[in-house]
Amino acid sequence: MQDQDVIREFLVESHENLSRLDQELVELEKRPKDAQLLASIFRTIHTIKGTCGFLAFSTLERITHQAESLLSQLRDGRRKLTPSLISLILDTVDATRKVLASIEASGEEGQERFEGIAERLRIAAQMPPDGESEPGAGLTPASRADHEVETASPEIGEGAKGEETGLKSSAVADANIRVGVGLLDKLMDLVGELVLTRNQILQFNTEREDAALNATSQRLNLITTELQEGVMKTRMQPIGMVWNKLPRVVRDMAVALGKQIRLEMDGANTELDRTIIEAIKDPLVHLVRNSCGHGIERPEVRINAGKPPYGRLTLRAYHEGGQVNIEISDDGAGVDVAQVKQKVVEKGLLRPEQAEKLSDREAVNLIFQPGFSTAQTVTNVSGRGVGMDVVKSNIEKIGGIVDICNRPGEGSTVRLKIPLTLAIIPGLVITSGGERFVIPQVSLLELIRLERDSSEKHIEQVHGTPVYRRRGSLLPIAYLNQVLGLKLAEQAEAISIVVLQAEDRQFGLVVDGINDTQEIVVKPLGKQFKGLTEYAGATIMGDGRVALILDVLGIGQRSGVLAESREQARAAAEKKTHGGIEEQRLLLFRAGSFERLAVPLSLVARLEEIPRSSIEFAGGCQVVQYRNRILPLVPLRDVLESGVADRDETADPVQVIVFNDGDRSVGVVVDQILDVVEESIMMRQKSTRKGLLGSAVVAKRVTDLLDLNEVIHAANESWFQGAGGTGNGKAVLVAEGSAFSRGLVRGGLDMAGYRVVEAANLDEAIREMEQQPADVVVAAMDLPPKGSSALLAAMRARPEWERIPLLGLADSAGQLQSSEARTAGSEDCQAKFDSNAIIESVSRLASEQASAKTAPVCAGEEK
Amino acid sequence: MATDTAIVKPEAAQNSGQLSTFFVADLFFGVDVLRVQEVLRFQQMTHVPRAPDVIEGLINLRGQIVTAIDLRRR
Repeated sequence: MQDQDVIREFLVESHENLSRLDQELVELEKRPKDAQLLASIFRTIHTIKGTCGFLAFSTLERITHQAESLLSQLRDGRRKLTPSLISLILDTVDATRKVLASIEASGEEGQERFEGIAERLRIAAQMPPDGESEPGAGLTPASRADHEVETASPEIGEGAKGEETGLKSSAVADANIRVGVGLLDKLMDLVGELVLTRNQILQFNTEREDAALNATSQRLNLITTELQEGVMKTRMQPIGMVWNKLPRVVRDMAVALGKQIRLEMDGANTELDRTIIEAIKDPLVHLVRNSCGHGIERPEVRINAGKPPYGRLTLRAYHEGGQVNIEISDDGAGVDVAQVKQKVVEKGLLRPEQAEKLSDREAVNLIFQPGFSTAQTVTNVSGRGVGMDVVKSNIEKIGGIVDICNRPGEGSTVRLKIPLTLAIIPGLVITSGGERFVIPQVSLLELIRLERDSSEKHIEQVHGTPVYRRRGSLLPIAYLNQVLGLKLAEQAEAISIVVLQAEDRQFGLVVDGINDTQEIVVKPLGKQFKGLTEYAGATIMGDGRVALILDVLGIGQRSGVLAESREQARAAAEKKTHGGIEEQRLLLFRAGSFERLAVPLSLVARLEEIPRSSIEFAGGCQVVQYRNRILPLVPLRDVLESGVADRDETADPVQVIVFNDGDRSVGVVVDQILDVVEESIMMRQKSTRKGLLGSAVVAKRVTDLLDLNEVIHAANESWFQGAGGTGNGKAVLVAEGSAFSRGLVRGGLDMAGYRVVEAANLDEAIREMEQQPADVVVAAMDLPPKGSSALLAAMRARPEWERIPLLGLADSAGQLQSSEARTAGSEDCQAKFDSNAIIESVSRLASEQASAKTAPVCAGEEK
Repeated sequence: MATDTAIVKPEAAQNSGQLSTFFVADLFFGVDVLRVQEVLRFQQMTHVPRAPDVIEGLINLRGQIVTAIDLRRR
């Protein structure tokens, strides 16, 4: 198949060239001194000769070769051009035509050898090139006739056949015309307009009942569809156009790498839109190079593995469901999953325990990460660390999908799924906030409709992100109205979720209404919209108005449902199943005999390495000059293991964790920073040891949680000077679900002189209050089971607790900012880890509360 | 957008050229008439959420999508 295509193209091209030769030769006769013209003729003949040699058409090659040498003499000015020479060349052209006709008819050159022509050309070329004598002397008409007589019989014998096939030959030439790409693009644009107009007419038709109009519009519909397909086909090119250059690439690679590779191609006729052909050209070459470079092993390795020494690289292309699938498979070693994992950790793309958790399939897909390359050595053929990620992004840019199927030891297959065309795509029309939008159907997975009452049950909040529980897995939800800042629709009786695929993630987009699907013509947006990632373009709808096409990836990123990594999504799902145990990022480190210590990363300002030589002493404490200030240092092992004599003072530089608090900073000296992990912490064991909150299992190992307040306090009394000593034994109830955060808050309050009672949930808090009412209640906003508002409501419901102020604790400063937290009805609100602010707040509330007891103006009613 | 189109000839003879002039609020503007493709009456536009303020919307001009800019906000 491949060969015949090549020959076909050769025929078309040669016919064109020969026609041009005819013209040019005639022209040359008029202007024999025109060097440019001569050069052009020479080039044309040369081209034909070259192709003939490539396709092994020996007769043609011989004739054209002779003609070429003659022409080269003419070109170099070694011979004067005479009409007889022109005729000779024209005869050559005719002979070439005959051979081409024969090739077209039978695929072979035919029996005729055209010895006469060849001989005459040879003689002409060997004639002494003396300008004075008649150069064409040996080629007088008489002698020409002689030659012709000699060779007459075969030529005539062929002539009859030639005429017959000559007709056919022109059939090939006539059946193909070269059309400029610009014209085709223009046609495509016009068809796009027609499709739009057709849509408008169809819509118009549905609005009125007119039989004639109905029939006409049906017909218009049909014709337009056919025209659209037809024009689309004119822009289709076989994928073989791209594949053609691959054998060479593979051969060069194989030679360079000392490998033996056989390239097999299947489905080279599969047609694709030329814009897409353009777009996949480079990715394909990349993938093939990759297979040669990484996939197929050296012959000796292959023989050891019991495989044939030559590797097989197969390209397959086929149509499937309106898409084109392209597969690049090799029978090499496949992707080494362990090596991939090791590499991503080395490159710092993932943390070791993240890599460990990955399934083989996920790990294999890591090779599409930017900056990844498993090649051990950087060579000129592979291993520059760019490539696969570019492949992926290029394919995705045109709406395609890249997937890799790995068979360790047996090879790997990269599968590309690519749309047939980009210009006209099916899309789903939706409405939101009174506007219409189109979602490309490629990214559409399913539509979900939830009745209003059940929607509240089905859409849950995880990590502050709404999720929908779909067939046992959690689907993050984004609201289109929110993403685009549109006005919210009034409460409908049902909500519609469009489930979309963005890269390898899925998410649900809540829209106000789903209309229908339509073929739309994608038009680019102007440059004014450059920064808007939400839209992929615009289109004109049936009613003539413009509708925006949503960019699914952009919407996903904008809404934040794709921002969190897969890791987090999974952790969030786990967290949900564990029943609301708090999740935190922890910094793990080692100090003294404590192999694993942890502190919440949110408390850590910086990690520093400080050379031992720069540590100074001030007021009996170790300090260091840090950003133009004096940073007190707390050697952690001294606090935790006071009295241990053999200090290891050799570590240089020392590792310091810097904690910030307002304008004060303190550095805690540890032995080694281990890792940062994200885990839900469940306090397993409370600690009685000074400086520790307790133990928990973090990253599968028992870890001690550092009581930061106490550590700092123990080492540096002045640290808490501002806040210390204001408690005067007042009772504070700390209601907080997480034992860890509770411990932190308690630590601070304890030191400030408050009597602290702890409660882990609402019931416990009420029980504690019943035993002994507190002066101030500190409650986490997310206090189990229903948040601090439930506790507040319970307190406000009882006259004896009504006046007790409540301090809300927000998870983060960000949540603190949100108005929701502010208006939750509590007297004040602070971030969980802002120990100083909490203590300050508590002390203020406690004193206000004390004065409220005498004067009935209470802080709680100020709002 | 108050659009009032009139063609005036500037006095300066050597720099003479035709301008399409219009008012935006109380300001009088002119633009080289050769750069003006056509003048349209107001028509329904498609609002582009999250787009810069100056962009009023998109209009369908015989199958071409044209961005409409509000000169007042510009």
